[in-house]
Amino acid sequence: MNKFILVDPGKCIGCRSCALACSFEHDDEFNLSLTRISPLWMTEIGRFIPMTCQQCEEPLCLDVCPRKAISADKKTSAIVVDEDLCIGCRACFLVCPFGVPVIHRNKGYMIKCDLCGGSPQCVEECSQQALSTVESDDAALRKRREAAQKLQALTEKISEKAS
Amino acid sequence: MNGILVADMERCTGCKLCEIVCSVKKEWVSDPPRSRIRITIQRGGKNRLPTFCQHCEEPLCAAVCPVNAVRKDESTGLILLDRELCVGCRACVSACPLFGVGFDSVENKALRCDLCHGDPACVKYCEAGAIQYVDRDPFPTNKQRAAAKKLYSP
Amino acid sequence: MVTKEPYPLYSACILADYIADRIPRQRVFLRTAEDYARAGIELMLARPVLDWSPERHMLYFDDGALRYDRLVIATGSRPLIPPVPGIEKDGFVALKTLRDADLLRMAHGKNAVVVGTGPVGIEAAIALRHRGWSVSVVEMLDRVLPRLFDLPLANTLKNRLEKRGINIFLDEKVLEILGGTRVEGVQTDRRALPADVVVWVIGMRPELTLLNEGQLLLGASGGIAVDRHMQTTQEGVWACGDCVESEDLVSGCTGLFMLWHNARLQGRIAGANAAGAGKRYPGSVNITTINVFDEAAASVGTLASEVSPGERKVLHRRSPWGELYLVLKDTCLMGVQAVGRTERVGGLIGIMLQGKDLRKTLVRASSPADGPGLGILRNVRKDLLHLFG
Repeated sequence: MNKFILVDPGKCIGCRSCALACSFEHDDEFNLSLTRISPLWMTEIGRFIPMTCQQCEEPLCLDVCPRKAISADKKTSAIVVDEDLCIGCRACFLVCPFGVPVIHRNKGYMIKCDLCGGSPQCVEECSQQALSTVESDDAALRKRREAAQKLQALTEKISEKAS
Repeated sequence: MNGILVADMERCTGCKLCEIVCSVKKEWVSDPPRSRIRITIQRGGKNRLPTFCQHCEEPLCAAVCPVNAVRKDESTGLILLDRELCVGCRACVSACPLFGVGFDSVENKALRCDLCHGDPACVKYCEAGAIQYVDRDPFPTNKQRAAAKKLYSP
Repeated sequence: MVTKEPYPLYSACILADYIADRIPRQRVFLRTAEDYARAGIELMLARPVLDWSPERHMLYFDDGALRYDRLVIATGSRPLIPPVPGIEKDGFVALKTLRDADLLRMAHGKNAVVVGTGPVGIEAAIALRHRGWSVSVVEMLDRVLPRLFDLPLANTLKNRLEKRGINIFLDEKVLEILGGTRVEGVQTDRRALPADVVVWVIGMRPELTLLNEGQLLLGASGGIAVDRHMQTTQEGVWACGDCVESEDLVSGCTGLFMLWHNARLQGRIAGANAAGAGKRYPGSVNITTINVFDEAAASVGTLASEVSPGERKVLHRRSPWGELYLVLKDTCLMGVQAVGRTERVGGLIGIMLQGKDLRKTLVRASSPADGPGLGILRNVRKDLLHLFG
């Protein structure tokens, strides 16, 4: 099962420390346009939503790459881009349902979340614990538990009112 | 704006008007094989795929060109072909992984999209709206925004 | 930059176009001496290096020496010329350099014999035909372009060449170059061919005359062995281009892949690494395109004859716009050859590199991620599935 970064938009305050940590980890500079995770302000929802790679189990980007530059890392099982092979054709961006891979503005290859080789810096730097690294089956379990807790609270409320 | 063409397979009807428009605008003759955009219709006509130059960052067509006729324009980031230098060897045609380069067998030169210098004719004339001219590297991408909306809307 | 060539950088790939008068001589050049001066590079033309001392970090010329801190060896290749009697005669040309092309253009007579049918041989034959020569081509193997195409497509190209008046003799070995001081003919094991000029292009070998025994580790193929960073076994010495062996990105085999784009990328990486960059060479993509009288043919990957017969499957399709020949090993795509619409070759490289089981890919519903490559395979899907049984 792939590990990935689970986002809790309810906790995100849009401080962008994740984005800064990301660009510093990968490019040794604080540059918001070189980040692999970007908190977006969504006016419709009234929240910040950090968007990053979901580390799909069967990634379309990997299928479409004409140079086999995208592969699953053996150690972390993250979907990573080989900088030397990538020709920057943007095919992966075009097929990604989340529009995640973007071009590195200075170096001309695609960049996307590689889980920092196992310990994602964005997760460490997030002051609100809005980000966490999870196994994908863990994530499902956690979501189910959260839903169950909400349901429990709701039923308690209802029973309170009823009594 | 540094733009790029984006095609929508689902919307393309395969009418090939873009091919005609492109050849008329660029070569002053209606000759679809000399178009810079091409519609590939797969057997059975189920899938129609418009193909054109993606203006890669490190393009293979430039790597294989024996006369350095394919170059990256530093100011716009577009991959442009110097037709004066091109010797018509077709190395770029067979090296491109995305069907992006065509071949003009009348003038014996390669054909590649230059985005009509920012005003692509194929986009204007596509009735189905299957070709769009969009910002090349928006950041964060509009797609990310759309996906976020879909994922987290209450 | 030190070279034995008397000219600054020119494109060896388009010498045939120059011979055929399709481009003027100055178009062959890609750089001028001024370009180097502007870039701050001291260019030393026509200065063959005679000896090299890796211990002392010195290069020796006939009239001096040069000390270096870091060295990039890019000596390229030389024509392979076995000791056939008569190769010293006037009119014997091994087409490799601009000087050879000049010689060919100045040659007088009407009969030309081209020995070898690699891309250079075929291009030279076509160029000479354009100039009005009567051209014969001699090949030792059973087909033209034997390293690029299997028999069916090679035959298509052979017919095309013959239709334009080039005589092709296959399965023949050249025994002797006939004549006095000048070339007058070629004696093969089956016939004698009249010749005023003989173009010898049976292949290239890495140019390693500079190296003494044991100075650098050579690979099994005879090229300089380099690591991923184009560094040789000597500290501070990098090598790139036709003189090194590299790994084929598609098949994973190591060998000599003397192609322009490989050499250029290797050069860029070797240069950057010599300056301390730490770049990595991803591997060679051996895609070759050749124009045979205004029709292109291209090939990439493994030939069917290189796959063991038990695992080999081939698919040969003819259509109004050309031919397509797919080589499969079991259910993996290993090689693509095409005559006519050669963009199909590039489109399929991605699928070859992925090395996936095609059965799975073909039965899946089509998705935008298929790209143009899989579209080509979908067009021949029925035949492919039939092939897999």
